[in-house]
Amino acid sequence: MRVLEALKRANASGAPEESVAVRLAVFVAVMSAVFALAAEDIAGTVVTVAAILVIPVGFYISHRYRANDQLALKAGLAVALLVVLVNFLGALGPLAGGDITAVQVPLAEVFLWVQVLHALHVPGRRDLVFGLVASGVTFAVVGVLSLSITMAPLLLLWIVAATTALVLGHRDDVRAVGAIATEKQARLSTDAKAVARIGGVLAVTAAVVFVLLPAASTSRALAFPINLPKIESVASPGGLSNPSLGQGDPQQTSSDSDSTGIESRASFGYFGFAGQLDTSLRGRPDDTLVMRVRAPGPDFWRGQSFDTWDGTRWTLSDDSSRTILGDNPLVIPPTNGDALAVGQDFVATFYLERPGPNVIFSAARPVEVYFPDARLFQLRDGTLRAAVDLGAGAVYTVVSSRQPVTADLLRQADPLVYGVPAPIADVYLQLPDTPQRVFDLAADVTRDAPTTYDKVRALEAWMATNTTYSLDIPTLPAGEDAVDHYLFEAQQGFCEQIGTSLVVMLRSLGVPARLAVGYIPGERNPFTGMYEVRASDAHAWAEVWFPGVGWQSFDPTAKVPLAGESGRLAAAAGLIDWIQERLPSFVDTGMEALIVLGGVAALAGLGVVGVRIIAAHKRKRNRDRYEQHVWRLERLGARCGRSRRSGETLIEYGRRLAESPLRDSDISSFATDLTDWQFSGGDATEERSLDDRIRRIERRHRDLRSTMTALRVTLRG
Amino acid sequence: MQPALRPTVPSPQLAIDIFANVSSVIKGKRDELRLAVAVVLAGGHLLVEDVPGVGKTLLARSLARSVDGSFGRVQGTPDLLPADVTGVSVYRKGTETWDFKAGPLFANVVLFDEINRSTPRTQSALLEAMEERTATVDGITYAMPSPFVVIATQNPQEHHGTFPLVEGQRDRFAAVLGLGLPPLEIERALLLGTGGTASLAELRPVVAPEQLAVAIEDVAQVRCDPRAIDYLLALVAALRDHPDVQLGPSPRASLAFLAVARGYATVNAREYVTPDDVKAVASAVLAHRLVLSQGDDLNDASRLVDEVTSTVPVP
Repeated sequence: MRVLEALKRANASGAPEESVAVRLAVFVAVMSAVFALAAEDIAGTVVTVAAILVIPVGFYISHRYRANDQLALKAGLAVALLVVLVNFLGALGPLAGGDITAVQVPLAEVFLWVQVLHALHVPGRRDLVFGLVASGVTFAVVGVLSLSITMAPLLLLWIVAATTALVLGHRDDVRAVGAIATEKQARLSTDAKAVARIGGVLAVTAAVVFVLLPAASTSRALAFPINLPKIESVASPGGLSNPSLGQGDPQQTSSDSDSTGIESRASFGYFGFAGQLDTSLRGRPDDTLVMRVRAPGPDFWRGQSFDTWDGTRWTLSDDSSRTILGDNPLVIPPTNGDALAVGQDFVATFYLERPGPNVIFSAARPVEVYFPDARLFQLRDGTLRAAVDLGAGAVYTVVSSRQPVTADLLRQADPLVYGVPAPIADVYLQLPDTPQRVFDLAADVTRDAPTTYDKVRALEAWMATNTTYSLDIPTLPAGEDAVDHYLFEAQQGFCEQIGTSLVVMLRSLGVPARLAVGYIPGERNPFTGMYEVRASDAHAWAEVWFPGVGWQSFDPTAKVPLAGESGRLAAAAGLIDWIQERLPSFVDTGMEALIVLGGVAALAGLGVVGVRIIAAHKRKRNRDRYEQHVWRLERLGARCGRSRRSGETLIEYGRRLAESPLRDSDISSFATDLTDWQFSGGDATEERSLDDRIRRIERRHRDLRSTMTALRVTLRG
Repeated sequence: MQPALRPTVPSPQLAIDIFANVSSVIKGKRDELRLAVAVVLAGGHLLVEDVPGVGKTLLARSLARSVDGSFGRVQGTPDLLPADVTGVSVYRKGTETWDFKAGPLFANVVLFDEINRSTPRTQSALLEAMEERTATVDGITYAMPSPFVVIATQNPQEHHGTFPLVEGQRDRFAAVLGLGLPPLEIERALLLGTGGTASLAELRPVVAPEQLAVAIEDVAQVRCDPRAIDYLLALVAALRDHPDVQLGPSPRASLAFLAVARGYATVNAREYVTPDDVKAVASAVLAHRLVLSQGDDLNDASRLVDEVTSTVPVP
């Protein structure tokens, strides 16, 4: 019986909402959520258009007929909601079992439909609050599914609207209980102040949480998003395809490898994602966003590697591959030189934004791949290729096993000490006919370095001090050795030159090494937590083999820490870079001045705050007991909207406070007794009792306020 | 009204007795009566100013009658001479001496009805008596009895055939009181024959003049916290600085202000002055002493004092 009554009570329609302001604020919040969904292109077109058209009308109708008992409408809405539910369950049916992520989009659509239908009948406060909560959930869904921060302005709008709605609604509630009637002319500014204050507190709290929170990590227990918008097989299974290179696409011109024309290459195409890497080629890709990577930390996104160097170009000695088939995840076996030890899971999901090579990018070394096509090819060097073209919208996830390497570990795992096994030495110590001075330089630079790791660092350091990093370098004269030209003639170059030189010099010292191509981590967007990889992030770097560790990436230009030395990322990591990136360039030059100015301002602010705190403290100390009690009473009054008027005696004030909203005659008698105590030159015992009394009153008032809050919540249901 | 009184304390008890006595005649005017009693206890003189017929004289008479002392009454008319008030020396044949025949002024309570209808000459005869508490007739100075309280009434000055009191004389009155119309139900009771003049006849004195004299001395000793004094002075200063005020309250006004506040505290059965007392008596004590730059109405001045009391922060 009690349950029935409770149900009845819960379903009783409350009083219609009369405040247009509250309704408008909720409407803005709901619409911003709808537009966020639309902007991220998450829900279907039908429901999105319906939402944009119907919700405004619905809010108008709800307001117009808020006092009516619209039974027919209610019945209609109930039926429509049932249809939506059935549709939703129907949509769930064909989805792959166990993949929770697949439910997100249908769920977002259901929410949108509910919003649309619900908007037609929001007569009361409770209904509006439901709309508000639903819009919040919608934003949560958008936040999960979005890859960018397009929705940020809409989220800000939502926060303002929702705060306004809550503040206004709260205020009206308080008035309805008959408690605090704020004076009319002061109301607007008080409301605005309240919204601003709450907004400020929210912003600061959110910022603090954001900065303190560790970055989200991915667990392998989850199913990962995978997607392939269209399946177009590459010409030869296991072969390479890269439409972004135009005529240089290895799939089209596999026989004629010399016609890698720059003109037909897409602005974001990188010539290294081909069957060979010709270091005499120039022309860097632009800043087009090519992919987003959700990863717990930065790493090189390796696509291919090359083992054979002929003085100008890198090729692969053996581009045969084996097919990996199976259900997701595809298990990737180790290949030549890979460490067999189990490392730490490193889960990275790649969201492709532009068509590119059909290589599967990954942090070294991939062990599992979630890929929609359920078929991959693994080359001898361990890199992976898809059997299909990877266009914009393709999504795959790679679980890599990373050895927690540190500098000390690499010093101990020295290939020169433990020896290089024949299969590795056969492939990765190959050298063409190279000018002797390159080898001499390598020997010279690394003479004092005790271990391989130190030798690598020494070579890197030498190149950093004696050559210049430049994207704009002269073309390589015909017949010249690229490494020799870079180290001794041009003395400027970019990643291909630097990486190649490192590999060649290391090989000359007997250290197995190879050239890897792919992308550097990219800029981390602190708001989405994703690395935004641009075409210009395409990179070539050296991989050095260490016994027991496997292939370790080295690069003097990209700032990627060793796997064992990268700490836990904060959620806000990259925030400062991100902001700096978006500042106008003139600010960039004045950045130092700005920092100094900011520091000065911060110090001045601290000083002012300090002085004020000291002054307040002094004032408080100088205040005698009477003034302290008076102040406490005034604070109590101000909290329930009844500040003491000037010219009002304490007794008058106490009487006014006692009338309402507190209905507490103790306040009145306390004010009288406090006056009596002070002006009769009262004694200490009475002072103690006064102290107890104000404390009691304050406590009671606090309780009263929380009771009122509870009452409001109950009333609202 | 604060009901319970501490019987060991005489002056508040006495104040309540007088108050109760008078309010049995004047109904519905508790605040004004409290103020009137406060002025009497402060040893000050009271001017009741209002339109005719609202009970000014009744108030004065019932106050006078509550004190069991000598009572003098003067009716202000244009032909009233100073000697009619102070008294004259009469040649006595038998003893061949001039005997002083004291006028109505020589009484514990003097009721000067319609004071502004008497000539300035007669009014000034009052001056010495009110301030010095002596009267000089034919070169001989006679002391006034103790206690000595003058309760004067007057009609507002715009009425015909009056001689407005000059500032100096107004300043002699500790407070000016307006009565205002009584509530209708009180007027109804008056018409039905209960209260008013009818009950004045039944009024019995409740205090001996000696008791009143002692009480006045007691009231002057009522504790006033420096905080309350500061508040009082803040009000006075605010009035002096007010742009509409040509001449603000004098230090004598401040003294009277404090004295009446003490009396008011006593009427409220307290032995100490609170800011509420100060605020309550401010208008009555200060308004009639102000010289405004525009408008010389007592109402204007009262409004101005009220304005000041509602803006000056109270401790």
